[in-house]
Amino acid sequence: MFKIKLEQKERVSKREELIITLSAIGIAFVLAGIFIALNGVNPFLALWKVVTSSLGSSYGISETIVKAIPLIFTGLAVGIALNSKLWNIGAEGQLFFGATFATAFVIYGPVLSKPLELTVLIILGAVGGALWALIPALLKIKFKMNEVISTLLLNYVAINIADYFLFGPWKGKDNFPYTPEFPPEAKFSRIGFGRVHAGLILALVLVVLLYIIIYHTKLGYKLRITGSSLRAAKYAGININKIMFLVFLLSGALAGLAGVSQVCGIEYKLHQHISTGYGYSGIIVAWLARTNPYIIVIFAVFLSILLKGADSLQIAMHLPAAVGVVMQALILFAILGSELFKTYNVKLIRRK
Amino acid sequence: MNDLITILYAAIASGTIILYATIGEIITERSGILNLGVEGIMLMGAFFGFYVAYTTESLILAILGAALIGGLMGLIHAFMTITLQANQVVSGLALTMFGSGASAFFGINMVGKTLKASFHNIPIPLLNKIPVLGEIIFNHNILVYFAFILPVIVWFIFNRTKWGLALRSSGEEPLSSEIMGIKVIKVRYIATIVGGVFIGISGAYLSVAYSRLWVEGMTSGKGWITIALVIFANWNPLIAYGGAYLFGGLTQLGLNLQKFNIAFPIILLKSIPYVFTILFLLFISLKGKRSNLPKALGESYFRESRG
Repeated sequence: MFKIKLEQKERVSKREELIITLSAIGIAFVLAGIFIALNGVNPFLALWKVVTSSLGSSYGISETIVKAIPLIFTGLAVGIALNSKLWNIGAEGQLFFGATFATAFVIYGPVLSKPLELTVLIILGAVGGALWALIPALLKIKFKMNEVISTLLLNYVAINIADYFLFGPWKGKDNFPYTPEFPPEAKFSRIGFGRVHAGLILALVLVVLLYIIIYHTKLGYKLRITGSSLRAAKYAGININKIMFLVFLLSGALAGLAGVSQVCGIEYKLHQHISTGYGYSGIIVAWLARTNPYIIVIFAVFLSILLKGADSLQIAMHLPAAVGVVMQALILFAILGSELFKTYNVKLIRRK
Repeated sequence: MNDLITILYAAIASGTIILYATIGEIITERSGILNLGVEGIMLMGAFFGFYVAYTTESLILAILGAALIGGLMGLIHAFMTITLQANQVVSGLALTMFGSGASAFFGINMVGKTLKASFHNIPIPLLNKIPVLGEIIFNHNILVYFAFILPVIVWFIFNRTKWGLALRSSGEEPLSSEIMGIKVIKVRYIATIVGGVFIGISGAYLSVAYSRLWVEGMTSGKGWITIALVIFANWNPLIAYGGAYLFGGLTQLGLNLQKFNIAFPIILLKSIPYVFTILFLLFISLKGKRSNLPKALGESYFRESRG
């Protein structure tokens, strides 16, 4: 029998931390390779395919960025909540609710001039997402209900509400569950690189804005104190409920923007597959990035490489679509497991 | 009247899915480990149970297979959270993601397949002749009957045996427990694995006995509903009956709203289980404090390196 002995490390250098994280990602790829090999596909070819399809051509790169856009929004959404130690597992539902909200205006509202129309849609999407986050926020603040469970359960309800419209009043002429295509006024402009659209600019502006808010304003200071210790926040005279409320709404609004960005930027209509789990992937992005908005961008791109790669594996090597989810889960596990090695020297000792 | 009997019968049949998982999660949480991976474990159990039932046509092997895969999933969570001291929330989320991904990945060839073997209803002699109740309660398959006695067994182990005491104290006061000679780490490992076993079985009950088919993501949130019901049941296996069957009943009632001439968009009925779950949680939150919440739930336990 072996026994694990832990010794607290005095301090960890950035270099050491990076090596541990990279090794963890390496282990995750080895595990993913085993999965792929079990399905009769050469894992080395598969890995090569992931890299070349997502980064090997300008088309691939542009599609990878297209997938990174919603991940930046959802990563920011989960991240801002996590920064105050709140778990928003409901970004997926907020994304759908925001998209449904904005779509309602496209369908029922007047067609405005493009800048005005897009402004309205962006605001409505953010409001929709925030409204959907308002429910778990009130449940948490008024009734102390665990937000992990409430936000997660509400995802199913939000998607169900979108389905209600898609299979009902908004159904396409051919009876399929999607809305008519949006008018040109309601479409984000492309920025001249494949399908990459103006949603990217909005996302990056928010990244910088949130960074400034979190690290350079009084509000951000309050958010960070609340996140590091509730007790400290109380002593500092911070109204914790108010902060939690605000953070929830902000988080929901950001997730709602992911929804708008999908319907106005890429799909040009509402349907059931505007998100392939971006709300859930956002949890991984935010957690890996430790809530720093700039690092969120890096991990959003990292995950979008995987997602784009997984798409290609599905098409070129006939692997099931779920390969992307499996890879994300393995990476999360590997990095989660590697945390221990950053704070402790782990030694195996033979038991006598 | 017949409608009501059908609904109550269905309440028990569908409540059983959640009852197994709720008992499993109670066992795990009582030891101090929060396992949010229920959804993923259920899906793995559902897929693997179905796969084994389809390939071997043996129902016993199907249940054993699901139990095994559930136990393995529990072991992953135990290793992550106990040995590697990972955050229990994140590890549970990763487990859910992994379970839904891996079950869809391997289960793609099982979609649309039908099973030859099936769990038959076994009417219990005499008892099934009781008017109304007999029809509702005593004409189910063996897995439903086992779910009738499982919570009692678990309650007995919790409250009347040394094992149960070790389990509960590991979840309340791990440090003092260790001093009293309880091997907290071992207890938590076992509780997380055994909990996974029952969650795995709940998945197999769903795919092999209840719906008799495998669909990607077929648990559709039942794992999360389970986690809420554990709180509703106040971590007490006996109250879990109430939670699971009441929940099954309300859901069935909702799904049958049209029978009572209540106009409601059919597609929105799908939201009923989730809304009810939140209402359940709201109800217990209004009722006051949960007395059995394990004090050390969700916290890493550092034994440090002693001798």
